[in-house]
Amino acid sequence: MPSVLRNDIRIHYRVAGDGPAMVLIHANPFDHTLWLYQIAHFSTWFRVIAVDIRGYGRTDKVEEPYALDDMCGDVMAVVAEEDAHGAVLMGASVGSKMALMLALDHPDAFSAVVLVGGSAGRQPGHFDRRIKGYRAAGPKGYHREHLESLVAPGFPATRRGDYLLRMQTEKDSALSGAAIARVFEALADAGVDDRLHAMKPPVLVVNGEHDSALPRGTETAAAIAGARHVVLKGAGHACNIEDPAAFDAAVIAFLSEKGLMPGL
Amino acid sequence: MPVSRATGVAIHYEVAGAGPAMVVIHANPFDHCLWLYQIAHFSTWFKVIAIDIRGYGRSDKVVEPYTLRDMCDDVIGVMDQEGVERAVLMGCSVGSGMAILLGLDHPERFEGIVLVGGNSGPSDRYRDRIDGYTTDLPGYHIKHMRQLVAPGFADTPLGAYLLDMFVEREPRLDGEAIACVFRANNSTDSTPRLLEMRPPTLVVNGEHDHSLPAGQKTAALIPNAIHEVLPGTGHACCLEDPAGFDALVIDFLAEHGLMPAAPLGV
Repeated sequence: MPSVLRNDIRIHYRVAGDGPAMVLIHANPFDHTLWLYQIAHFSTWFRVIAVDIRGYGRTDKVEEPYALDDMCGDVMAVVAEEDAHGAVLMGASVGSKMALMLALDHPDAFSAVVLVGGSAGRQPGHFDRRIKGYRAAGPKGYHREHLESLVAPGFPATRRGDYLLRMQTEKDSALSGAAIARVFEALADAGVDDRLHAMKPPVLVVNGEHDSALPRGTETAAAIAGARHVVLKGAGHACNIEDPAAFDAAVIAFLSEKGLMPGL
Repeated sequence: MPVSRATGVAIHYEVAGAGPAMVVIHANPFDHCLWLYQIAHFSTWFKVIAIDIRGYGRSDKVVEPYTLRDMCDDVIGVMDQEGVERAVLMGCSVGSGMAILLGLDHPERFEGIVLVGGNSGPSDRYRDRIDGYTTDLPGYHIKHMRQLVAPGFADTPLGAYLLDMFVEREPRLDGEAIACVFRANNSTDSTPRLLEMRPPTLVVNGEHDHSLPAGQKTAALIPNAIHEVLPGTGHACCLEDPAGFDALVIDFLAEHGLMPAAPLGV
């Protein structure tokens, strides 16, 4: 897997396919494999670049404090390394707030933005339970409980759901509770809700029906001129891995409408 | 996607993860995304190299005759380009025929072999396949894929989504190029050599897999090979039931000391 070094932090990412660039930023507490379906599917048309954000996958586990803006800088380093200017940008959860910040700070760098979750405002105190869970119980004690809360009821007990969640918890011995807690602290401290009116690229917001971020995703979509909002029935916050068929169809319809779906 | 031209044929492949190498070779009529689950999952421990065999994906659509060994040379070319001396090798269907030949011809380069399907010789279905692909590729492609999965799977929302992924790529396919893959596979019979196989071998078949008898025969002829049947799945069992499939592979690799102890190389 390729990687880029920025400010002494090594950021790893996976590249699949060829064509116009599509950059994917995953959610807590997954890594780039949150997008396993989308990496395969969109690599039909795109050069998909799926980043492991700090704290996850093979990327460095940073335990010192930092800001969400620093994490956005990590992504821009990958965009520069891969010459991915003009990419379609998709982000889930913390990745969706990063996507908003990236598109506002670098409006010409991204042709369109897809947000899974889509919370835009500061969220002080909102993640204290998560932060405490990872700091006190560590990934081994808290990871599965957290993952289960991000998907629709019943999904973790399905054969496929259990397999997909275990794909994340199998990495627990390589993860750091303190590093994951830092991601949540950076997420809680960052807000771009007062800037949404200035968004230039077209935006699609996707939420699952059981997604706790649904009210905030609705607000974000309402605050961005021309933004589309789609709610996926039967899915939770991690709707792209729960119902890839419906998720990908919504993204393809959106990109087609904006003239951003390449032909073969 | 990186590309190897070691044999004069452009072979595209994807790399995920880091660590000991795992090379995966897909089946007709898919491409490397047949392994979408295994690429994600095994990249936790391995550097997974997923090849588009000639005739599929972004690799060259060769329409002159060639042999299964030529296709194996494509794989060796990718391994050499990636600096991979030794790998775990997984192959499905024609990929399992290639894996058998690779394991026999290059035993020093493969530490363990997983065969999905595992047919070691000619098949009685290949004439129908060639006729289908050379006369009506779009009509035959989905029909063929539906035959490779368990009854009902193609009609589930997830099954339809997964098979449609390959239908969407049809503009890149060429019926004559696919026919060449079937001809190469069908003109090779590794059966008499199976008793020489040195790397440890696991054969996996789906319960509804038309290759089940052939896979049983292959497993019986390879010294110490293990044979497993995945209930409720067809020939494409790695795509149909990744949870069951990956668990069998992990058990097999662990038994032979080939599962890295720690995830993510830590």
